[in-house]
Amino acid sequence: MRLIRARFDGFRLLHNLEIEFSTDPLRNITVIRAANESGKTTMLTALQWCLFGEEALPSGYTPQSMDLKRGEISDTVGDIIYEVTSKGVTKRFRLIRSLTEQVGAGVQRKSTTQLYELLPTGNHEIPNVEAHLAVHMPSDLREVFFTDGDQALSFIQGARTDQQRRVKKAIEQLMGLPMLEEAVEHVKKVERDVRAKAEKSSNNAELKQTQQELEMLETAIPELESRLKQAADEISNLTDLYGKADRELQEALKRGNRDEIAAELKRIQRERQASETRIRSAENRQAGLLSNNVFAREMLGSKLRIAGNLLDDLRKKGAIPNKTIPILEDRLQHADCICGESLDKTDPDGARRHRHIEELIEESRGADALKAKVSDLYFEGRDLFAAGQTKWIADYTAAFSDRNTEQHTYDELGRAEANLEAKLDKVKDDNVQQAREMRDTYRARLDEKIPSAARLEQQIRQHRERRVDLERKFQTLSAREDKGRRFNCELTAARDIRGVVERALEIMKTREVHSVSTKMNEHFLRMIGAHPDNALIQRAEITSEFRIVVFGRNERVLDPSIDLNGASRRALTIAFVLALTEVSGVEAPNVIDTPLGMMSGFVKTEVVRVASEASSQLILFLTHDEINGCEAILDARAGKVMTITNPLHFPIVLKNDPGTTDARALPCDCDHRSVCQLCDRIASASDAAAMEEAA
Amino acid sequence: MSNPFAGSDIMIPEEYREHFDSYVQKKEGKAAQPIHQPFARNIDMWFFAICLAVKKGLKAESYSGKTYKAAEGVVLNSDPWRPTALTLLALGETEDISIIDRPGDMLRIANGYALAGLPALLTVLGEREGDTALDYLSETVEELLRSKAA
Amino acid sequence: MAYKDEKVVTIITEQVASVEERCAGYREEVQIALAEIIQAERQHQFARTNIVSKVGDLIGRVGTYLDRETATKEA
Repeated sequence: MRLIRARFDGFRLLHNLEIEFSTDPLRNITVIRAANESGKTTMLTALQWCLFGEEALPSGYTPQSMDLKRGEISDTVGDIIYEVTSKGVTKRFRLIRSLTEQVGAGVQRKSTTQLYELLPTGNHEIPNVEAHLAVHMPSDLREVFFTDGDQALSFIQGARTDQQRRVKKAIEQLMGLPMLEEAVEHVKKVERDVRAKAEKSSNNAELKQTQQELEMLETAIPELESRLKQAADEISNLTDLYGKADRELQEALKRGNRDEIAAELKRIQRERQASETRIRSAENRQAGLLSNNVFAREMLGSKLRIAGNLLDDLRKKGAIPNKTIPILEDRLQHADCICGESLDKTDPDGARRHRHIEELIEESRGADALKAKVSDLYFEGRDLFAAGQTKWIADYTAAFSDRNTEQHTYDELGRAEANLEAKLDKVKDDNVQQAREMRDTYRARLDEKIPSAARLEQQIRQHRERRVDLERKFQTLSAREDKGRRFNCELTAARDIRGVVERALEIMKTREVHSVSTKMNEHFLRMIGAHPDNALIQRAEITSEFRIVVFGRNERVLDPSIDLNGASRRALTIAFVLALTEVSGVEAPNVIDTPLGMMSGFVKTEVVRVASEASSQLILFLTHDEINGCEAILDARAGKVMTITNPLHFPIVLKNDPGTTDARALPCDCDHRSVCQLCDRIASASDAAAMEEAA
Repeated sequence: MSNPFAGSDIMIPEEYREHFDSYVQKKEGKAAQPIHQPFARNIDMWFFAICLAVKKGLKAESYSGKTYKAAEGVVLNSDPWRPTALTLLALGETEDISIIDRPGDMLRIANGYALAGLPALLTVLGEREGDTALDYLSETVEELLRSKAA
Repeated sequence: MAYKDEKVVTIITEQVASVEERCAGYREEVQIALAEIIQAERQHQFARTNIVSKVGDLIGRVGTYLDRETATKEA
């Protein structure tokens, strides 16, 4: 199916707006250039409304013209000319959909349609419009062929089961799988009918019993299959949740175990307290220096030395006894003096010396209190007044340095403590224990569900095997009867036919899906310019569970919703849609609204190129920004380009006054490289930068 | 040598009482802050003043106003070298050996130096700005000891 | 038609090749019946018909053929 021309009137801000689509197979791109809020999305919606009716409108959306007031009558018309080629024959049709409503009436009316086949002889009205439309453009395929850049992302984002469902549905619809599945069901029904007839016309009790058991299986198997599907969905969801919980656990572990941090914190706090105590004692030590004898000695030095000299003099004069009375007395007991001379009383010299010592002893004993005091003072004060090394400064330096060192240690411990407290705070809500429990809970539930699903699978398998056996048995039994032969042949034929369809279905699901997967990967890698040898993204794939996954290096599975940037995600969804279109062989236009947002010049160009090659007719709604950087590919491949402008963008965006303040989209024939009085814009800073980049 | 000052009292002019309260540690143990109150007891601050006065070469002073008992002489027993030092100070001051027999005179000389030294001490403490009392005093002492190295 | 049913038909044809030739021309009968069944199914997608009956008739036709050919052989 190919779009030729479309006209909309009274559809929101589209008034008598015509679009011509390119039908040139080599230049198959049609570009509608428009800034945001100029009517792009409205046109996309209008196209879909015209082809599919009210079901294509978002809920609560009204196609009424925006300038009308309450109570006024709104006439909305969509008029599309398209072509369909079937078995080499091309036919042209015109579809007109109209809706007349009163603005603010509340009740939404249904639109009416008229379909004409355009023949050289004239227009031939076709009565059953919906049936024909359903053939030309089945509504199942609407979401695949009409792509809103953002909405298409739901193929790869959101709840896993939703993604799978959407991907599966898109593939099935395009491949026509539901039809085949229904065909299988119909054949089965025929088989059941034939067996019922055979059983009725037979008197064989065993035959009847076999038939009954077959009937039971026919009911049981679909029911089990449904339960299995449910279990598979649950497992899929749980796997997702488990994965997330596991990731959170790893994060929590990285942040640290609460108990460990708390223990470390306690230890540091104790150390800091000990350090504080040491600082206090260091301070005390330093303070002590201001009160000790070293201090006094060095400060009072001058006076002390005077006193010392005096005392020394006295000592030299002999006024200070040597405090040797005990020694002298002791000597007297001996024969000789300390100096070696004899103290023998019998010897005159010795007697003289002996007497001398005795006199000394007497003198000493006779010393008065003052002398004793002086003597004490001399001996006790010697440390204070004797010349010696000054050491106060050295002591002070040492004490001060120790204090500093300890303070430094204290400060470091303080910092460490603060760090740990902050760490502990962060960990406060994320208990490793809790995260582990969460993950283990999911694991436990998975461990329950998986075997249970496996059991269901086995049951289904057994039932199916049983069914095959029973079918054979039935035929064997009925073959023994005359009429039974005839029924048997029918059953054989039915079985053969069913087998073919079932196998075809299986092939569609595996081989064809694999083809879509391969093509999708091809397109995707080209779009993002990934080189197989060194790219971070190695390939994209549709799994057998209909999930679109991306692989990084070393076969690492990447989650598109987390590991790909915005541009890559969009490219991936577009690649999917294109691959599906190609493999299914369905010919229909790919209409895409703002697909190139967030993309660089290279990616944009490749996306446009790949899409143009894969699609039979590519219709793109692009902003000026999106066009920037891919003008060259549009030069080569765009067969038709038009621009629409929103007059209300004057004076902020538009250069010239459009002459109207109506809410309407104004078209002009300007292409991606030209401007006119109507669509010329004030160059924004980003425009200027982009133009520089392109130059 | 026994403490000749054991029976005497250390009398300080009343105006210095609050300063002694500021710079002498009143609290025991952890609550004591040597960096702000470098002196453990009144006697230590008094003794420091004496040392400061002598080192700076200040003249001993006398005072006739209101005084209060800052400490008892017996407290000097806890550091046996102190009575010795004060005796030597008096001897050095008078150069008369008989002074050692007159504790009252010796104490007067000591106190005279204390009275000379206290204003100087308070001046030093007053100009310490951001420094702690302990550190500023220590620095001051260091400077004094370095300058007159003799 | 938007659908290119050729793809489905191609695959079906592939699979018919693996059907047992129970009698001369049996596979061809199956092939023809299948083509018509697919056609009927497609129509049924867009406009409800008594599809089971139609499919039943087509299968019946093949069954009758098989019955006749094998009975003849036996006879």
